[in-house]
Amino acid sequence: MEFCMDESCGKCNPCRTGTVQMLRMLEKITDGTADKDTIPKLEELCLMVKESSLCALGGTAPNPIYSTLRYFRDEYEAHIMDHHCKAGVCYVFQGEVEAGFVDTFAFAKYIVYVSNGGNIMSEGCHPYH
Amino acid sequence: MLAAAKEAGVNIPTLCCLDGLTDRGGCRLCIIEVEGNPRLLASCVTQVAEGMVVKTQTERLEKYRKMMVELLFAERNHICAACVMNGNCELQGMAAKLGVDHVRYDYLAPKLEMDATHERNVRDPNRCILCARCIRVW
Repeated sequence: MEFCMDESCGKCNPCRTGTVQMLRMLEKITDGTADKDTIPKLEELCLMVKESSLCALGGTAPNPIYSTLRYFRDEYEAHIMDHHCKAGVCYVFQGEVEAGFVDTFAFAKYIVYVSNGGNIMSEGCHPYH
Repeated sequence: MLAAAKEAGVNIPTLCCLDGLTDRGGCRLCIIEVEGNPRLLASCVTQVAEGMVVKTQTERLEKYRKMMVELLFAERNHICAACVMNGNCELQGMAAKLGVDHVRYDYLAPKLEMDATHERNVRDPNRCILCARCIRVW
């Protein structure tokens, strides 16, 4: 989402302003500061951005959210309701890692970590511990 | 399409269109539903065609227009109470017309400085909605 926000050309309103707000909502979910209205609000915003954007960047930006919501909705809800990260990656939570679980945000968090200068090789096995 | 609708007496809301300027299709407030097309089109840049069935006012469009205005308010620092255009503002008027009474999104509050380097052309980016009217006019 950060990528879509950065790459947005800025011409049309839904993409330029919508992607920023979608990213913020995702951050709130992973931070534990989201409330029960966040997911419906996020879904509504995604639909608006997808349908009203000028080009396919805005039209496809909400897709990762749609797919993760479709397959990992329970993880979203666990982040919000229980403040629990099933994969133990969100560093705010002291979640227990369940065997075999893949954290849906791990890839995005890794990208952020690397872009902030982190190096998984130099720091040992897990960047968040 | 926007002009044709206006001639027919249907006023589709818009913020970036201005009489005499090339239409941009940027604000996306003039979106319409066209039968047979799954996408929503900006009426200011859509050509009228024979046999087109167009909906300009549906629940979905109304909701989306409201959300877009809310997003505009959240994007930059729009403070009506301290603004020189209070009461004479198209954005404010649009919000009032669409029934936007609160903003559901986080205010981003970017730090933007006014540009008053030219005495005749002062620009306050805090109030800018990036409609590009100021660019197109040249």
